[in-house]
Amino acid sequence: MRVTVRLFSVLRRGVDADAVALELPEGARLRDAIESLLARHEALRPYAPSCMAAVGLEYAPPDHELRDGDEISLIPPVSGG
Amino acid sequence: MVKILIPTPLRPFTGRQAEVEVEGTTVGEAMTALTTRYPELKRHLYSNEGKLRSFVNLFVGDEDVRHQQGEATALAAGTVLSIVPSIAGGAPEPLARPTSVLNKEEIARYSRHLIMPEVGMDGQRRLKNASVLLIGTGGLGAPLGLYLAAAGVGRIGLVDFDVVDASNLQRQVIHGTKDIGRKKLDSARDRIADVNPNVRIETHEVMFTSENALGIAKDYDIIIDGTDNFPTRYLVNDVCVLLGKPNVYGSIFRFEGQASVFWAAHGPCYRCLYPEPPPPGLVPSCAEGGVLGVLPGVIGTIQATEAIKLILGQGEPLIGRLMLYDALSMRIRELKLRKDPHCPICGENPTIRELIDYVEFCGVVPHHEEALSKDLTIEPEELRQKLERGDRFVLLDVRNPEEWEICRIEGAKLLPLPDLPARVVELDSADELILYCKMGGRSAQALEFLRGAGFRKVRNLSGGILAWADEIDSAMPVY
Repeated sequence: MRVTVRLFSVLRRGVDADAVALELPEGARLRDAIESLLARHEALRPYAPSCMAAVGLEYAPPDHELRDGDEISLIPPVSGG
Repeated sequence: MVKILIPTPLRPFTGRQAEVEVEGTTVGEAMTALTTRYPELKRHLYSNEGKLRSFVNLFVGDEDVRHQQGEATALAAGTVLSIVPSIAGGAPEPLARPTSVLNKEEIARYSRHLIMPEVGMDGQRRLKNASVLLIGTGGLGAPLGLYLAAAGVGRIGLVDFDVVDASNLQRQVIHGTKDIGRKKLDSARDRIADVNPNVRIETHEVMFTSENALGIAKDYDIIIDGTDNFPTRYLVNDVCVLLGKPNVYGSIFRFEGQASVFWAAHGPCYRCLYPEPPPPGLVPSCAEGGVLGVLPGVIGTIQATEAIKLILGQGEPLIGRLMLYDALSMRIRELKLRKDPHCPICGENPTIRELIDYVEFCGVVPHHEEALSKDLTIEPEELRQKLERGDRFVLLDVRNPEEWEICRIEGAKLLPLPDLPARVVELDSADELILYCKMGGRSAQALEFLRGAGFRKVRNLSGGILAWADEIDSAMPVY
């Protein structure tokens, strides 16, 4: 199946894009998608533990089961004010 | 007779009645009686096809009628039927009571508020009786202070210890050119007093810390997070959870902003969203990464809007929702959040019961470059002498190309920190290397990386190019 990961703020600079498409095996979980993304873009790895992830329009835990066409959002914390 | 409880957003349609008594033996009959008496209510509760709208929940006692017989659910005499719009976390009661009195000047000033049913005299009195604490009077604090004062919030507390710098004026619209060098609190107080002299301003010229935070925050209805660093953001969150107060959150980076209302009694807190702070230095601040000047205007006014709604008890608060604003694509996204049952401070078994050391929690080592031992740093004067003598060494600028365009030290080579791992092969570990960035933090990271890669003759310019401009080259523009 194919999913899209939308990247926000500082993550966009890490890959020079605001979204990445991933091909994943059936039954893949959110954590598998993130690991697949990190394997392709090692520069993002240090940010991953502090990021919030959502599937569609809702927060999702790492074991959330993905479906074909899902849109994942990966949102790092931002401190500016 | 059956009693129907009307939620705040629907009270304008029941002549302000919070409770209405009607005849009816089923939910359907009672609702028909209600909407016959108050026809305006009908289109808010029912679709054109006469079906109850999906966001309207009806409860008999504490049971949702969907789990009973729907509109056919029987009602005994004296039963209480509640109409509950499905708002994440529920619609909290107004935070302030309408006890203040408005004088003639205030009635004229707030007239555009007073003629709207959602505010009215009652709401404006609530605003006057309300108190808000702004942590930070920078990019977010500037529009917050101006709009909350203009709206008539009676008491505004400001926490800051900074002075106005020329580089603030591109976004911190509460301060002016004449204020450069003044304390931000003095500048903000003068401007707020001009916008609305009715506002009581309380200034707290301190760094917000675990030692003073509870004492400062306890006297305010709402806490607004307009800080610029992670330790203070976690501190503000924990203070709000421990005191049971709402935390109106906003944060900005370059062209993007986030906003939410964290209120543990009604929804998730900041730690539910971000349990773990990022490693220090990884997420740049506005000073390092830059920020579009109008961005804090957008996010700060969203925070001000949410604070005013909480005071009035009107509308749907941004509780349990994270708003993401992207100025470049001009897109707004909204993500539903979830309260984390394992949250260390607002979860079912909290492990944080008092304020902690937030600097340590975020792993921040203040003045990164000072942690480097003396033989790994070079002072600007020594660098000047080396350049003058024509010593053989490589001067490496690890800032971004945009910063290089503003100013640079003559003879330097640009190699931005993010590109360093890929381009390290361009460097020779036999050469003597001197690194610099804006203030010394990023070049210290570059130095650590290079030492790990086997470079031994590498030093860091103490204080970065700002120190160079200050001590050696006063004609250099700084940013």
